[in-house]
Amino acid sequence: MKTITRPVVTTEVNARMLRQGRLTIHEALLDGDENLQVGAKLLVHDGDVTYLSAAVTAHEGDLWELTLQRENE
Amino acid sequence: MPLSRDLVQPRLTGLVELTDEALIRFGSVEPHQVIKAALATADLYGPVLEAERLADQAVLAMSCFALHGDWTPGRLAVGTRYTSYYTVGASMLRDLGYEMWATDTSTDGEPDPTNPVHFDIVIQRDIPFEALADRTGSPAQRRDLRNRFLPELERLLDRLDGPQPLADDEGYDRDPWRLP
Repeated sequence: MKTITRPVVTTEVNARMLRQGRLTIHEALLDGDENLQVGAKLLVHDGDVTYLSAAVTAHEGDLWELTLQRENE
Repeated sequence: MPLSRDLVQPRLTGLVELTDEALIRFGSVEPHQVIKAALATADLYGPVLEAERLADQAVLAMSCFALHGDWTPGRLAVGTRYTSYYTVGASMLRDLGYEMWATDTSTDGEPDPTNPVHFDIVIQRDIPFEALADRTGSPAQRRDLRNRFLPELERLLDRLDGPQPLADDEGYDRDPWRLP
């Protein structure tokens, strides 16, 4: 069994996001206790069976930019 | 450069009225996740609300697609990693009093290719914007706010059938994931 230690954010992951490797999420998608900051690592769950590694790469107001990472990053 | 956000606009041409189509939804149907997504996008509907003469009000909506013409589940899932979907009949939702708005979304000026059949099911409307302030509050405030809307959302989610697996025989490439 693998224990997930990174925050998980569940959101729509559409074809454009996967193609660009980047998505923007709103603070309201979070629980509020994640203590995100630029550089933080997290998992993006598409609500189905896929979990993608991501890093916070920008923060502006209530918006967070997440950049998807290859599995070994 | 400002961070990218979707722009949601009313669709005025093409498929704008649903009859007996099935609506399809990908992704989470877990109530807290759906309401989080609805709260996160509540401020994107300005142009839609103006068209509906609901300016200065917020709306909570759940995104879905109509299975119409050659828009199949496989085609709608092109380029994603979704493996299953949920469906609900548009006519049944209408009979239950739900509004379904034809909307187009775009990001950085790029229209979503699935726009021709994109719809939003209205979970709740006529919400004063200030009532959503807690969506970015403390964890307890956020939870309390979500809980306010959960009964109405669960009434909708109870009508969804699924999950149904996406067929592998439609010939669409669903996983062309290429990172830059």
